[in-house]
Amino acid sequence: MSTAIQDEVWGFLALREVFLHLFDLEARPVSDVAWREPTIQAYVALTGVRRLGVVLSCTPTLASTLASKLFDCLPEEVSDAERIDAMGETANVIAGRVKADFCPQAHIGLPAISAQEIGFVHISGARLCSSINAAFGSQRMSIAVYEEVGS
Amino acid sequence: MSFPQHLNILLVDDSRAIRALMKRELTAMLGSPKFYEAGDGAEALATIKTYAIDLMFLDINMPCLDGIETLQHLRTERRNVRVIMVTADGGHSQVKRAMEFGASGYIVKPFSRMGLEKAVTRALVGFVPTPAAPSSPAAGAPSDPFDLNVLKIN
Repeated sequence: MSTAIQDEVWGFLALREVFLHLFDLEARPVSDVAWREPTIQAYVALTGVRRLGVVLSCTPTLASTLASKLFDCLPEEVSDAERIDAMGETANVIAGRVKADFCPQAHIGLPAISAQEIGFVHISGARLCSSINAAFGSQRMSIAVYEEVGS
Repeated sequence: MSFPQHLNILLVDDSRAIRALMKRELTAMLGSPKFYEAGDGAEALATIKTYAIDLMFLDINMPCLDGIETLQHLRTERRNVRVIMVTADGGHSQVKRAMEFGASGYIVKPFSRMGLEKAVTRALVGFVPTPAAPSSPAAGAPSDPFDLNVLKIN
């Protein structure tokens, strides 16, 4: 495998393609500055020879925008269940890209969703391989890929 | 591209968002198909016993009964519905398994309208619409005893 998970260019291009196809949203890269807003996070595990975790984090506003695109409604009409659904499915699609390029034999798990007042979920026993930060207008998001230590 | 009218399509995905997206794309492509929805494989198998489904979109990664297991059940029951697998897994190993169980094709999420159209075109090669009304129960399915149209008085 010539591309490393740490490759931020790969990560951003994968993210950009997923968001263009699913939501017709053009992502732009942003620097990794401190993020002090509430976040909704979707986690998908990839299990196999390597054990990876893909975490998608969005502001609640962006999560509502994503859900509104999929359900074809206004962001303010989106329910919590629809926001969770959209976050889970987006993380699932991104995990599919990670799997295809870095661990083709892995099994993709079902998404788990959590909400944080401030900050991010930290996965114990895993190291952060890659973190990609992007924005749509003023709405922030990030994707992090973790690998279980020793896998 | 012209497609058969009045297709009965079953969308099987645990994500209601993806079902909503597929409905919009398929309506734009096919005109006015009749949609049925299921959130997992077990629901899909129950639906297909009741309605004459022409085409099924079957997500691979679902809770309870996943797409591959559902397809195996369908083939064991000798149901010849045309099935397009839906997956986020670009690795294709599970898609290969699905094709061995007789899936007509697959699409990888996030799919484009062109990709969806190609998959539907391929799946419907040789398709002959069933003479039954679009939403009529599948052959052999029990009729509704409370439906006045089928009530017989001896």
